[in-house]
Amino acid sequence: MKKKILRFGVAILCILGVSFFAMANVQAEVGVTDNKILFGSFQDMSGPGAYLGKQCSAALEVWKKWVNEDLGGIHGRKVDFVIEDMKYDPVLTKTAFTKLVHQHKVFAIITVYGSTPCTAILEDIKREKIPVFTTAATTQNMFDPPNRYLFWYACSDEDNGIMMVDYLVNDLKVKNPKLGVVYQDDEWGKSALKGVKLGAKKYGLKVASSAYKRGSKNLNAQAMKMKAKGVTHCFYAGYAPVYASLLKEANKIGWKPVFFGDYVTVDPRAFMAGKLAHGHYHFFSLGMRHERGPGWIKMEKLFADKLGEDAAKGPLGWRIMPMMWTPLLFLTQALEDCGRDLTREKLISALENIKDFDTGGLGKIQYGPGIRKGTHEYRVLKCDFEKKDFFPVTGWRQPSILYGSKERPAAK
Amino acid sequence: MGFEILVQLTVTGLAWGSVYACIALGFVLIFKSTDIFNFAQPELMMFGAYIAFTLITTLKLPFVLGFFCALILMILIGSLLEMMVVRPMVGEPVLAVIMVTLGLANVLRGLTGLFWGYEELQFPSPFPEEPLMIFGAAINQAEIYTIVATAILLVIFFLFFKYSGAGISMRATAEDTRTAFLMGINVKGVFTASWAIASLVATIAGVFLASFTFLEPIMGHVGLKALPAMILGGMDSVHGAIIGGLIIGVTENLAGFYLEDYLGSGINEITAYVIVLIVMMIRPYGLFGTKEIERV
Amino acid sequence: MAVTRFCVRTYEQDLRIFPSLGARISLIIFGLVLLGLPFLVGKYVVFVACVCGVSVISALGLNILTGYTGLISLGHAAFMGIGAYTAAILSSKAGFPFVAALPLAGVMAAATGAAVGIPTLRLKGLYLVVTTLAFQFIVEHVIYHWESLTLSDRGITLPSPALLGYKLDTYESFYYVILFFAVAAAMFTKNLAMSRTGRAFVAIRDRDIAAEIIGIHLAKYKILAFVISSFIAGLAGALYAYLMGLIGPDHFTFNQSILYIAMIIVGGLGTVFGSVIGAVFMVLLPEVISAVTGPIASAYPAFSPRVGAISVIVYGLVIIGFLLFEPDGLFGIWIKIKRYWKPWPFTY
Repeated sequence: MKKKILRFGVAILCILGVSFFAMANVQAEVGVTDNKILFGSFQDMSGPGAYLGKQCSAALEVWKKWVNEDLGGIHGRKVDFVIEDMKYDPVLTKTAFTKLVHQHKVFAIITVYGSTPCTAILEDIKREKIPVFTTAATTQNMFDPPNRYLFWYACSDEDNGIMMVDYLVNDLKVKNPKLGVVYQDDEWGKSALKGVKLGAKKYGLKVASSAYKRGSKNLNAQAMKMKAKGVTHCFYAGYAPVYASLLKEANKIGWKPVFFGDYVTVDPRAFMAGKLAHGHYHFFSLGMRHERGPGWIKMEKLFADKLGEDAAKGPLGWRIMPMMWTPLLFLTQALEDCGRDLTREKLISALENIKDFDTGGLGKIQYGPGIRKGTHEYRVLKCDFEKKDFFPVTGWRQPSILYGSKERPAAK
Repeated sequence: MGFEILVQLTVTGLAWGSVYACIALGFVLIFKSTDIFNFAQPELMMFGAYIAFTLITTLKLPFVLGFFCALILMILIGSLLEMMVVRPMVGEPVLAVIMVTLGLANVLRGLTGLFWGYEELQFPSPFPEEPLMIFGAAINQAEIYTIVATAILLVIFFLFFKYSGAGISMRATAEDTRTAFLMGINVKGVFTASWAIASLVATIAGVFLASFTFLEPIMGHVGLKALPAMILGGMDSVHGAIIGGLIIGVTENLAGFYLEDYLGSGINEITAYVIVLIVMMIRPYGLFGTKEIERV
Repeated sequence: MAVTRFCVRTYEQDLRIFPSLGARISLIIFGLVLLGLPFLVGKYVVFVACVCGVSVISALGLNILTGYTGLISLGHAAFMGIGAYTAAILSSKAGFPFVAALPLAGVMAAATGAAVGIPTLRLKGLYLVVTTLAFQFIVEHVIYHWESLTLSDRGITLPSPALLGYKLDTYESFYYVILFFAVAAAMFTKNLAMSRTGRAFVAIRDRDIAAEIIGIHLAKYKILAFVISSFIAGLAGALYAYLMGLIGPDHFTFNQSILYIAMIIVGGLGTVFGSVIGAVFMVLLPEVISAVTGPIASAYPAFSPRVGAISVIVYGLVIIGFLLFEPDGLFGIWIKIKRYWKPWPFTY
């Protein structure tokens, strides 16, 4: 008898526990109240890209303080954000996304990245009709075909691959370059390969290529293959430390090409290769801190002010910080454009309609109806080992084969 | 030209193979003495490398001194871990012990991320950057030292297990703990010693690996390759682990170069596991492993 | 007298799946809670419950192989992946309906299970472990590189499952499908354990040479274990694919295999209850950790990267702690609780 009561009691407790858990999460609005707008973000806080999580959370923190303290909020509403850790894993990203949308009930999702994570939630974004502004994921499928709710702002390796060939033929005027691509073996790397192949086809050149698996550190076979094919100009798509390893490996085996790194290589960790990194080129769509443009100066002041001088050093030293910061500025403008009556659809329209947004030299960002690719112009940078930095050698330019053109049609 | 390429690939493959061999050696040491498969071995390697890094850069110790201090520290840490976490699990089902070591691996990785952050760090390699030329193949000095060190370790451990009293008692403990205990062997000491030595070897592997690549908390991933090395060599064979590691290192590098065009990229990653499958079909106990005789 | 009635079990009771009245009552209440769950809680909790359900099914499959038959496998995620991709390819490219794709996914995985089981008959213990690990990595490689079939990184999107014309495109509606399969899998496993085949499995686990001597056909039962286990894993994988809507190669990696092993060990090896509770526990553990660390990270944002590392540490410590104190897992703890209460109110 007593045992029956005991088990019954345990069962009741379970039910109560579950209901309590449920009750604790009931929320009425979709992220917008009279005095607050709630944003959500998923970050890699403890996975392989935890560095990104650290910098982006810092940026979000600064943005929140800037909007709330300096601007007094947006039309009388303060902004707030909540971050979920997804460890760069697509399954956890789906969980994080579902949590943000259904439990935290955020108004929009901001400042995300990760090709496989973001790919995993493409359909969910469409289904939930929640704006995601922006993703810095490196793959084409983020904006190709365009997803009404997903805005992309990063560098397209496909663009850059074409630009490498453009630059070699038109600027450096190299006779008979032997093109090569060393790329991380995923959609990101493959988009670089596709770009270089498109450019090569246009000018009648051939391309050798070698892929390496993400996380792999032994690039001996890849470097050997490139050397055997006599590659003189090589595009690299992948992370900065691996780029440094490739430089060292190439040096070791006596292969001396000119490298063109994508935007991810514009990073102090490229200097892990020492002076081997000197003189190579990189593609970049953002302004550099050493140029002392108004955008960077304002960023420096804000970060130091809101985070403290010491804590601000890390984020400000990250060359790619404007890729996270500029969209936040853009978003702030769009939110203000919407006025007091704020809805998700209005935000989308506002984001589409901002033209010639002045970032103070941080880089350009623009969308349009049906256009979710935010980056269109890049510069070629050259690496300087003495100064441990990268310096532009061209002005702002576009690839000679544009996305959406006949040779590069948009996906259906 | 073709021959030069082959030599180059082989030499680099040997260097990487030595890293796998060292890690596999750590696995085998613990397995040989305690019958436990220590999934935390790659993380011990990573932790050892990070500790060496801190001693050398933050405390500004000269490389050799820092390296030795790191070895000593890791021996202590390894022994501590064994006494706190693994000893209580003696006698428990194999899977439970494996799980504990997996939990330990997580803890070590988290601690590394906590104290050193997740960014990749440059390891202060003492080896000069200029490559040496051997038989027409270029090799980094860091790689040479790794191969040499691994060879020395091979000899040391081979002799240790075959001839020294401590080595024999370790083998005895692995074969039958209870009998060893009855024979007066300090079984607890053997367990702790095996973890201590495995941590030592792991640190050596970690420092070398960090020297010719860089430091990052997911360094342990390389450790997964040591498993095929162990299988190939035979799970309880010290020299098997090392030879297995070298074979895997060379084969995968060769496969990566020659087979990429036919079998797609990433072939060098999968070679090790294909080798495992082949070996398991032909010689289930590996090249040098002892066949387990089960008594019913 | 009333108390001791529950201590004594008759032979008939032992044969039944739910031996005591108490067990049956609590199960009915639990069942009612499960049925009513979508009406009690929010969408996110239902989603988590769905993930739990799929994990439970998969853990049960692994338990049959590893817990009952003693064949340790690190390739479980690969089997799930095969099931998931089969369902995905059949439903998106060939237009197979849900009711057809699901069993075919299981069959495909089972066929692969047999293919793995046959060569590994000679292998034992850690050699088997590493061979299954090799299998896991090779499957990962194939999924990744057979682009024409699997679309590699881009992943395959599945059409919403439909049952008898009724579209199941919300988490709430799919929850019931998963619940059905989870219950079915649990009942199946429990029955299996008590059947002749199940006893053969356990005999193989305990002493396979002895089992062979008393007439258990080792090869047949080992392969059967692989086939059953991978069929269930394939089924779970397919359900998972429909739940996620889009699958990619990253969903079925070595880390997932480890996670499933963790589930059955932490839950309690070789018991149905253990697999269920282990699966639920391992799915909820990160949730609980983030529920605690999330507010801390928001309150002290400078601290947030550290918080990420701390959750990894806590995760490892929980696993270690559990196994140090109770190597029989959660099931062992449950048994201890039951035994403690059994003679209540007497002390012993």
